[in-house]
Amino acid sequence: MRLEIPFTKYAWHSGTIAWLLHRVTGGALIFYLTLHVWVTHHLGKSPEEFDQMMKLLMHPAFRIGEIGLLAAIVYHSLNGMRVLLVDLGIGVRHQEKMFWWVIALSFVLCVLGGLELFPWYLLQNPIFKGLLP
Amino acid sequence: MHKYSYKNGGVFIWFLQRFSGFVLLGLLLTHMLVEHFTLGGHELSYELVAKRVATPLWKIIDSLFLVLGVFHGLNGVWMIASDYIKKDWLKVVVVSLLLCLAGILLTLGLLTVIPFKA
Repeated sequence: MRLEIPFTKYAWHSGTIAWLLHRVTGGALIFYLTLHVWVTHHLGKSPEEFDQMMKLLMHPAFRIGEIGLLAAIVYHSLNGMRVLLVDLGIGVRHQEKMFWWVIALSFVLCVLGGLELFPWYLLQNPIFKGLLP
Repeated sequence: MHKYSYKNGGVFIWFLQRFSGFVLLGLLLTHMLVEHFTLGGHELSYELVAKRVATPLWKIIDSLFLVLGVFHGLNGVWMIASDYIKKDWLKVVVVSLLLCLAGILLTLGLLTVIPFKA
């Protein structure tokens, strides 16, 4: 079987989704790593500049972005462990079942983390008045 | 049989990608537990972070985290790229760009962590 250009030459099954998601989340994490190194380098500049950076990251846009970051990290970690196990020859026959466990666990962890990370104070904004109990 | 270009990179790099991923997960859990669950939570400040980064043990841990992260990430990008790139000259261009990015990230990151004093 040939796996070459995305969306052209391969059948869609759980392994394909796992493989594609692993690449997409990996790419997103490289982007985050670059940002993170850049943000952290303000530590060496001055305490004021670093604290200003931290304040900027408290903006709701970044707080919500962090939920996406969590999703990428959780999926990439859990699927990475699945890949490692399968490569080591452990549970090869159960790799499909393991993929759905990866998805289920990622979902649960992202909901729990998302509830914690979401800037709930946004809902106190008057535009939501009447929409919420 | 289709010839995968990544095979030419050798089984050692394939192994390193798995190994670095495994170690990164341990480092990430440590990082999250200490930085976000114990120290700061949502509100990180210079005071909280500086105290941690100034200790020699954390300099080693953070440097290892950075080096493994950059290797694992950029090697991952190369694994993806080499699936699609057939022309040799383009491979040279992409590898050069990735090495440049690795150099920038490592220089910026290590220069922040290693000489840091609170």
